[in-house]
Amino acid sequence: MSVAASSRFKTLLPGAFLVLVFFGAALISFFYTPFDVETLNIKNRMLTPNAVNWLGTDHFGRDILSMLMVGARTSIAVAFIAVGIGVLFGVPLGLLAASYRGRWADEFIMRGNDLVFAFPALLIAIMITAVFGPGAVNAIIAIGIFNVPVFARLTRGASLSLWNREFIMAARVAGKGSARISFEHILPNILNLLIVQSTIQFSLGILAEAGLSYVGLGAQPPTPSWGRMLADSQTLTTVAPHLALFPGMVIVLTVLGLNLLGDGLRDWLDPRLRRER
Amino acid sequence: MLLYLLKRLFSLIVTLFVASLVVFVVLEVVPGDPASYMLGINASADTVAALKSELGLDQSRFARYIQWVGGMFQGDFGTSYTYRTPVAEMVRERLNVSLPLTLFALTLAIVLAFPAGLLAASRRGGAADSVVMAITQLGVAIPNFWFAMWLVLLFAIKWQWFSAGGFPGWGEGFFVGMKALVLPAVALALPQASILTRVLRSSLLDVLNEDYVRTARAKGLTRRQALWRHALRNAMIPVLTIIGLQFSFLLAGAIIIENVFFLPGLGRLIFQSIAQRDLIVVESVIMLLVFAVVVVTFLVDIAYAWVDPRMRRGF
Amino acid sequence: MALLTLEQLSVSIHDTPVLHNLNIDIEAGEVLGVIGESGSGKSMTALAIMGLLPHGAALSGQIKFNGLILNELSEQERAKICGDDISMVFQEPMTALNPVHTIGDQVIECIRLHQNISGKAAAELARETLAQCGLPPDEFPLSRYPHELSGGQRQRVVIAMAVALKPKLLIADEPTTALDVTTQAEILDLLLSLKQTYDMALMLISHDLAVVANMASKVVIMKEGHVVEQGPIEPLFRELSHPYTRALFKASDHVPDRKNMPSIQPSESIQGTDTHDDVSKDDTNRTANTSDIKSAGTSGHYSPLLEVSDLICEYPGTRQGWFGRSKKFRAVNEVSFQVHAGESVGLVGESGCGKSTLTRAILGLMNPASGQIAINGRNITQGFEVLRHVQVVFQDPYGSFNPRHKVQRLVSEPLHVLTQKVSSKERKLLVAQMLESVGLHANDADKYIHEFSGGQRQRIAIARALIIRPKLIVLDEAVSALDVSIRAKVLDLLASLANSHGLAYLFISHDLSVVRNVTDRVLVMQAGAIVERGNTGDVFNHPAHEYTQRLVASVPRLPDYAHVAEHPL
Repeated sequence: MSVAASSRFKTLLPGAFLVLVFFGAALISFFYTPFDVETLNIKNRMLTPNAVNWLGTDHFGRDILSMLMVGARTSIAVAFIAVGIGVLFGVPLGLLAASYRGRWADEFIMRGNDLVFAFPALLIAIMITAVFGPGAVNAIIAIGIFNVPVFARLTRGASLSLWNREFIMAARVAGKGSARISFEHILPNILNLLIVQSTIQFSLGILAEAGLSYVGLGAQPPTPSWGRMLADSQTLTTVAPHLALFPGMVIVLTVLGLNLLGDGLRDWLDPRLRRER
Repeated sequence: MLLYLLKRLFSLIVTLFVASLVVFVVLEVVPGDPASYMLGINASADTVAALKSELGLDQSRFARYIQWVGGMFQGDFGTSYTYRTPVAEMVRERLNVSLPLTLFALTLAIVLAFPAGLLAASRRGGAADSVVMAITQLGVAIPNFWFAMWLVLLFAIKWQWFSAGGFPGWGEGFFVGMKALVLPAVALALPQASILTRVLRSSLLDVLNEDYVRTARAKGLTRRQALWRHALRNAMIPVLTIIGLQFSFLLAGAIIIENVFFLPGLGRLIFQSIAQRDLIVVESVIMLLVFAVVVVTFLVDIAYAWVDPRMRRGF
Repeated sequence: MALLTLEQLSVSIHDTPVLHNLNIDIEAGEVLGVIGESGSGKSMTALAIMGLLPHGAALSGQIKFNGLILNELSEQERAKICGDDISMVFQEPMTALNPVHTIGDQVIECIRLHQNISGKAAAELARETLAQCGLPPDEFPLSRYPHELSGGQRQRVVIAMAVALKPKLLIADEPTTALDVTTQAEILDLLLSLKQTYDMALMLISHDLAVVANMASKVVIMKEGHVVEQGPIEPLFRELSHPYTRALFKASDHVPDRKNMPSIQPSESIQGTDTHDDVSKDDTNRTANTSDIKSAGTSGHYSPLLEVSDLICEYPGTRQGWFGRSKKFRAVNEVSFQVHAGESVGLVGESGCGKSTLTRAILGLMNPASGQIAINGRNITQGFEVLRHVQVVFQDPYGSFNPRHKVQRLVSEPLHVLTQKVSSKERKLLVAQMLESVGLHANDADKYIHEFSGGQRQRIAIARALIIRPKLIVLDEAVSALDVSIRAKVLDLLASLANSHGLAYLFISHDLSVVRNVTDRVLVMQAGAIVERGNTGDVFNHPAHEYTQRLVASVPRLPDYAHVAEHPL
């Protein structure tokens, strides 16, 4: 078996499988969940996993499996839109900075990046919450803002080395302008990198959303969210550890799946790495 | 070299200045007037006005910004709206918990990551490498606060080796204080150690492919000697960047972890203050954290120059 | 008994065989040359001897050194021999030294690794060895870092590390390929004198027949992992009995057939002038003389195809002090010259002489500080339609193409510069035509660039340059990265295209022997200025300027006994 094929079996396929499972669960939850997640059933509270409630019930008697399925929507939506914000603003800024390399526009963009980097995502979320109050949208904006410099730096760094390549010079000799070269030549060549980074930021987004919801800065009740479920379960870990176990496992598996997918994609898309390592 | 440092220092000052503007402007547009909040809805207009002037809220925004920034230079962060005590004192008390926790966690992450990363890189493709990679793959994916919950369940509740939360204060002695920080620090450090291990490993593997490592081998160094003497220092550059970034992640992560362990740190202070509309405290804590992040970035820049002589040249 | 013996040595990497049953001997104190094109396995042989084969390599056979079988020793035992009894010098001096350690530390490390002596004594020995390698301690103290040295100086440090312990065998893998020709001559002299002083055997690996011919007493010729032939150098090179060796010789000194060379050779008489004023005046005079002939087909005023006048290009330099004004670095200093329709002009010079900057300025990729560049009498600042008469072929056959686009799109890219829109049907037709004219197939348009070899890629680069029917093609080291046999074919193609399309070439290269064979006139550049110009034959046979003389003298030449021309098939 070649190195490429073995790496595909070790990372790409398991990663893709895990990611598909959770995306699938989120999609299915729009049409079907085993139980309704908004009906409280105090009589059946904190049931351990059984034939009816496969993963048990929470302190309000809600079915945990159903809540995890609906919660997946929140996590995935928040992380996905946040990555979207990062790509949408970060990539053009990075391309622009690289095409003006060394000039004031480049300097301006990069110093702006440094500024945003000085605020960890949580601080941004805290500031937004202080102003607008808590909510899932704040989490999206906070994580999204944090993603912008990540993508801007990556794009600029990768583009800079491309700008010195001879095929870019050939395009310039053909009379093509910076913007056109950026989209025709630079962007397709950094796409792999951006895809891989997107999966990484996606997984970081899932973790960040969970963290924000956990401290009450993310999705608000009654919207189910993995982080909230963990926060609710915290005082009950001694009586009903499964309340904390399943949401946490779901987060770990989703993030693991995304990371494996990212690693697999990197090896698969980059023929240089395919040979070595 | 000196020029390089001055340039970095200049950029540090500019970043701090703009950051202070951003924080001030963002929190200025917060709906809700702290004075009326503090006095309740039944307070008369006169009392509110009196309190406003006492807190300095009746001055122009510009004047208040100048006062705020000017005060911070002298270590005066203003007076808490809620507790009427100097913010600086409150912050210092909380910092006594948060800063040791962050540094403890960072140290732990570095201490765990270096042997693991070196081991994995030197045995690339071997069993040790696979084990390290599998553990770190999992470590990266685990939310630290969830991990913390299990640490509490096992080590505090089941085995009772540590207390489940709270902080006795440094007055009880250094080791008593540190003991209370062990579980939070482990919870914080595990994911960061995983990231650092992976970065160190891949950076080492990159460097091991460099021509100068081949030259070193040709001189008669074994693989392992070449790794220690020639690869490690060169591999430090991306690792330093990550350590710098991790400091800010840890500071932020500490805010969340403090909630799990009921530690009286900056995190709990900031959430309390938001709930109580005590904006001056929120502003000050955010500025302090930003300051810490920027200073660490500066230290990382200095470390670059120390590691790589090419950075010391000119500029 | 031989010092080093390779017996039935075979190596494969990830199950792909790269070396097949090599049997090679090196006697103590002799110089063995190993010659081969890329992929011949010559470097792999060196790495096998040093025990530095890449990950996933499998070796069979024996490497015997001084009675030991090296490939059966443990890593520790082998490390004791490497750097002490056998040492190695690599091709790329810019990356061969660890950037974070001083040169002193790196030489001392090598010494103390093998000899149990004090740090002070080791430092003394390091200083001595560096001095012997041409880096005297007062100018190059041990505290220098690699980035403070030039490529040639770094290679001297690498050599000092290799010879500090007086090895019995020194392996030098293309030690001068990355260096300028004058530096190459110095380094080769150094290697030879060190070999004599220490009485060590030298295994010199090179693609350059002339370099090996002047150094070695015995030679091994390799191709695709096999030894083609080996033996004492003189009979081997004199007889050239093996067809591969013969082909290699022919290709290395290939003179392409340039039938319809411009009938009127520009009669440049001035040589060795430093002052550009005289030269440009002379250029103008000559233009007046020849204009009637040159512009025979056109009407009206004649202007040269490319006219560069008083060109100055500058880069911002490092700033002096905190508020000090940065001193600008002048890469091109008042350069003037012309290229006329249909002629082939060479531009030679060593790295850092400003030829790349000049190229970029001519292509409109950077703005000159002052001076003019005109094409057909129009200044290139007037927009890209002026530049449509100039196209370029770059050095790197791998970096010249966007790997994500198909050949169709790559070759048609310059059409962008035309003001008229070209329909996609026409584009297809044009690309097919161009590919066929460079010896490729029309079907190749649907392939990606990674499906082609280096030589084929340079052909595609030429097709891309040709598609808008330029008058001038700038060849920026266009054949420097190619093996000699492929280089010969590409040079032939260029010559025939010049004939059929009436092209002019500006041939920029560090390789004097190629320039000599393919150009009519030549410009010699040093430190940003053109120091000599004239007909190629005159300049190379009777260089007037001191720098040109040094340059020409440094070019390695095949010994008199070894010339293909005397051995017709």
